[in-house]
Amino acid sequence: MEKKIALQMKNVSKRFPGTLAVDGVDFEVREGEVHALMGENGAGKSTLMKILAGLFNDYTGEIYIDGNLCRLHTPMLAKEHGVGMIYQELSVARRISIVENLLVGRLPKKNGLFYDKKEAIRQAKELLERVGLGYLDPNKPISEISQCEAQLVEIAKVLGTNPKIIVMDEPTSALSSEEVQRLFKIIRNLKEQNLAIVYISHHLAEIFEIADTITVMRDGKKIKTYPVSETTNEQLIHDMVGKSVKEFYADRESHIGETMMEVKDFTRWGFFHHVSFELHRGEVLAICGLAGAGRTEIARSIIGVDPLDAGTIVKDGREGTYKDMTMAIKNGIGYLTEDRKVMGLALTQSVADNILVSIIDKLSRGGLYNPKNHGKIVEEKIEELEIYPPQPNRLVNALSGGNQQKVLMAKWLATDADVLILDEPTRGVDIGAKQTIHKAVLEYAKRGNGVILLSSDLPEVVGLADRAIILREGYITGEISGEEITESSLLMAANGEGKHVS
Amino acid sequence: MTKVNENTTAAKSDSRKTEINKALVFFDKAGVWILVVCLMAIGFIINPSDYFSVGNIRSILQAISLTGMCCAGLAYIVYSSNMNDMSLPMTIAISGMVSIQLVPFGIVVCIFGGLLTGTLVGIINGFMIGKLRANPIIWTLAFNMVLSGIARVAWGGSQIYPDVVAGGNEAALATAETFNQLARTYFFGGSVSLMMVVMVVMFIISYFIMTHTKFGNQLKIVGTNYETARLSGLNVVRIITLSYIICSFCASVCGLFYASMRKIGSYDNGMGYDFSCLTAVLLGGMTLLGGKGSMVGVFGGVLAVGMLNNVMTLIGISTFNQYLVTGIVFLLIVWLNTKSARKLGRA
Amino acid sequence: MMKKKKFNISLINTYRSYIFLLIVLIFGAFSDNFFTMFNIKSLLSSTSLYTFIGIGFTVCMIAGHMDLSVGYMATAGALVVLGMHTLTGLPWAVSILIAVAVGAVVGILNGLLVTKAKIHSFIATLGMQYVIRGGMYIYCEGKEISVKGDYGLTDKLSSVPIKFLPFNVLFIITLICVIGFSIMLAYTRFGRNIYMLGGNLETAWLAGINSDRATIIVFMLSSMSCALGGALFGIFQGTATPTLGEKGIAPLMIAMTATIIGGTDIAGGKGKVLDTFISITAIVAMFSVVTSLLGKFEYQILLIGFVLALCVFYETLLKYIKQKEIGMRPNLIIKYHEETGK
Repeated sequence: MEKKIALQMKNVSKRFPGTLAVDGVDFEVREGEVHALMGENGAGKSTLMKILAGLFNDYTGEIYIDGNLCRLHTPMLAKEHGVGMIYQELSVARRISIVENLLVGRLPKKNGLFYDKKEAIRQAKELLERVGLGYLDPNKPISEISQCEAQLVEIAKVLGTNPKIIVMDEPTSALSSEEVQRLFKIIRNLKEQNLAIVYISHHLAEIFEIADTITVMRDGKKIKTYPVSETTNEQLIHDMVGKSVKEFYADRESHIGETMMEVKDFTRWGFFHHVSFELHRGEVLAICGLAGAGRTEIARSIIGVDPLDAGTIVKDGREGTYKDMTMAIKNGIGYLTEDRKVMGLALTQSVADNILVSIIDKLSRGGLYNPKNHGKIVEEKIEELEIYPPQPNRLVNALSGGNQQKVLMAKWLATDADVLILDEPTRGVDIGAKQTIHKAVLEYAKRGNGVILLSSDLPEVVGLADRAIILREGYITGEISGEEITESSLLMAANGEGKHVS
Repeated sequence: MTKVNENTTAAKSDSRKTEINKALVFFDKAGVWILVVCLMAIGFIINPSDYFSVGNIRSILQAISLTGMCCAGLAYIVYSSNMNDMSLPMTIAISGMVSIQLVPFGIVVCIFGGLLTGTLVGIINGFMIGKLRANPIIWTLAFNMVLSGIARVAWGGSQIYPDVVAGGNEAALATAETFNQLARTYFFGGSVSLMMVVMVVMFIISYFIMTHTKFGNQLKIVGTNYETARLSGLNVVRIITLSYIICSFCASVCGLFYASMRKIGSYDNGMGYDFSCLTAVLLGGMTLLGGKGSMVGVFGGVLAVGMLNNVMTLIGISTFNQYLVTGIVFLLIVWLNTKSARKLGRA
Repeated sequence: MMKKKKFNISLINTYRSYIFLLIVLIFGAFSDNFFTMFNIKSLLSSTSLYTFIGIGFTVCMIAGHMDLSVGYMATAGALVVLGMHTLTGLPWAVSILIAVAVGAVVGILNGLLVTKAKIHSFIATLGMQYVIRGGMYIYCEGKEISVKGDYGLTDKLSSVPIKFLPFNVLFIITLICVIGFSIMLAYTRFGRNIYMLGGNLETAWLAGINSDRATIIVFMLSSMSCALGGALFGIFQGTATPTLGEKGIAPLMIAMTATIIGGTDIAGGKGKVLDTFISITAIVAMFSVVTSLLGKFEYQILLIGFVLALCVFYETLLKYIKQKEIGMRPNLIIKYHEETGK
């Protein structure tokens, strides 16, 4: 039985100043279907969905919902037509209470003028119940709940608008695997209610688990649509990248040398307790764990940005802690942050400025410093990391996501630190850039440096790491090394199961 | 292999490029200097015989020199994305008052004391905003009130005069006279005043600091993104504190000349400088987001304000009515600034 | 036990404007003529102008914006209402309406500059400050405008309708406005949307709130409130000068200070008009107490500066300390207590 078409987009295009982000795309979603939209970063899938959510008023082409031609020029209009969108970046107001966040724009009215607080709380509780957050007090502000919970609140918010079409743009980026399963249960439930769901994700495993149909986009154009049963991992990657990827992670030989850094009994109460590990020369050490296990917190405490209650670092014959990032860099430690837009890059400055920022101290002579004299370093790094377009004076803002991430990587490679902590070095990056960054990481390790890798991208860990320590709820619970690192062993261990957990 | 692929996709996206408005690029580069040139032309048309005379140019420069000194410092605050230093008026006032109070101890102590007071204000502001991350507007506003209160209580709410402070003491009277002459020193037969020289030198030094020193280049990153700067190993506390110290130092230099010019130390000496200086800095192309603009632009902004007033006076618009024109020109320029920055991806 | 202590501190912080008022009143008891009917009446009526400006400033700040033009807007309101009545000869009601309409126009202009031209509100209203000031000088030609002979409404505003209560009509109108704005902010959909605008503009927009229109209305309300306040003040005083907003401590500064002491978050999304009103009352009362106890005007500004600095310092310090605790996991804190025996 063919199901009814819920959404049909015909020849839709959207132009940004400088680029044509979506180029004449036809796209269909049927009722009761989970339709995965895939593609590299910058392929135009988020833009296409933002058109659907009414964020742009200057797209061209036709959009039919339930067979009727619609003009989706504001978020309001999109909502009226039953489109609900869960955004990649959280769109919650942190100082405002959960209730008002859940019911934003549609607070229940009473007596025509006033808003009905009781009714609002009742509705909010119901919605929270649906995503398994029934224990939360809806009067709390969002700033007092965790990131995972906020993400679920965001999903509940969209469910509350009773949409006919739900778009989820990377909804699982902040969720642990248990919560992902809970989300999938909700999605299956919605499917049974004959809702149309568009699901954007970079996780192939998730796609194969939940999706019915897959559409692949590349360079703003639609490439192909096929049922999930008729495709494979390789086929999908081939269509996304436009070239075949036989072996994404090449074999490599590692030369592990002597211990270069030791973290002893690291404790920050309430975040992680008694964490100890060693890092050897030429080694890529992964710290694995579910979201919220305390990976980023450990990294931030190592470099001295966050406080530390106990513990020391032994490196280069010196035992102690670092009071800030300046001191960490002096001691040869670099930290690539997880969020390049908020903490990693100065977006409105040039590539050169961004690459040189951490070494201004080193390059300056008696307080004098002129960035123009150090163009050589910048050019070197641009070439090494294949940053495109290779213009040192281009603003980072004007680069694609992948190239921005390369600039961030270049900045840390330029510091000549011998230990790099990489926090999600390839999050939300297209496959080409991912490859370049991985190559750079392995090169770097090969030169006898140490890398600490914090990543939730399991294939990345499997492909890069020599050794992985497992972090669970703030404690180190196990260690896996060498060939035994596989996606399944990592997942088992992170969830507290399997033979690697002590 | 990868590289080839990268380049081809990127080349494709290049072919998808659309036209960028050339006028906006031009405006982004030239900024307020367009206005300066326009004002020059208008001035020349209105008054072709006198406009470019030494006298008129001197009067323009003389009128902007006090604001200019403050702006050379305030630019650091705006550049570091801390919006505005609302304690400017009292920094100007109190440094002038302290230096007048120190007149009996000789001119060196007197100037040094005034500058030190201003620097002290900067250190406190820098600690609160750089170290504790207080909201810059609110804190400097509060601190301005505290300073104002201290100044009023300490001097009993009255104004002080250099010659009165000096009393009957001969040497002190001579110092008071020297102090009063600070703002009245001219070179080259009266065509250049000390105030102008100080202002221009301050701008040149500021330009040099912004572009050719470690501090200036680090400040650029701090202004663009504080977190990024912190996580890139920059000593953000020191950088922000230093920018406040520079700002307050510049304000206290202005305060000295202000007091010397009026021959009065009073708590309303710098009144209105908080917003009028910000106006000039913003006119010069800096934005409240920080990390954008240059000292050349700020100097242009200061110059534009002075020339605008000069031209309006030449046309015969009264002082009070000049506010309206200033306001409209200001909004127009800021709007164009914002627009060009947004269209070119810089905001 | 630790938790209980913290709870109290946050309670003090929540009600700090009331505590401030209480402290001022306690000191007032030491002054001979503070608690006299006459003094309280004149005190309360002198809060009027500041309160109207404070309402405008607070509403804007809740929506995440700063309106620096409020002070001059009030002055303009006073000038327009007196000008319309005395110079043009219109009846009071029409004059007041015109003044408020001028406020509305300025507010809409502010809103358009912020939403359509996308200029930061701090800058846009700073520019508007100059425009209003210039327009004002052109209108009154730099001279004072006063009521000529027709003191009927002035007397009515200062009359006391309810015996035994020191409330004159001006203060009652002020109070009604405060209550009206409080109800609007707390209990209507539009009011809640204002908080959402300040909390996260994007969320509000994505949720289908017409954020541009709402922002423009917020600026309009702010300017209208100031214009009305200025108009009433002008009538009450019987005279208005273009330097009304410049003498002593500028009304803008008082409104700003009161808004912050009242606990409105400068980033928006949090705050109450009533708290602003209470802190304005406290500030005005403090001026009176200080003058009668210390006999000097100078101490007023010092004290208000200290109170404001204290509030800012406290808030900053709290944020600085709290920052270290954000994200603590409850299950690990239990472990902490187990391990350290605390």
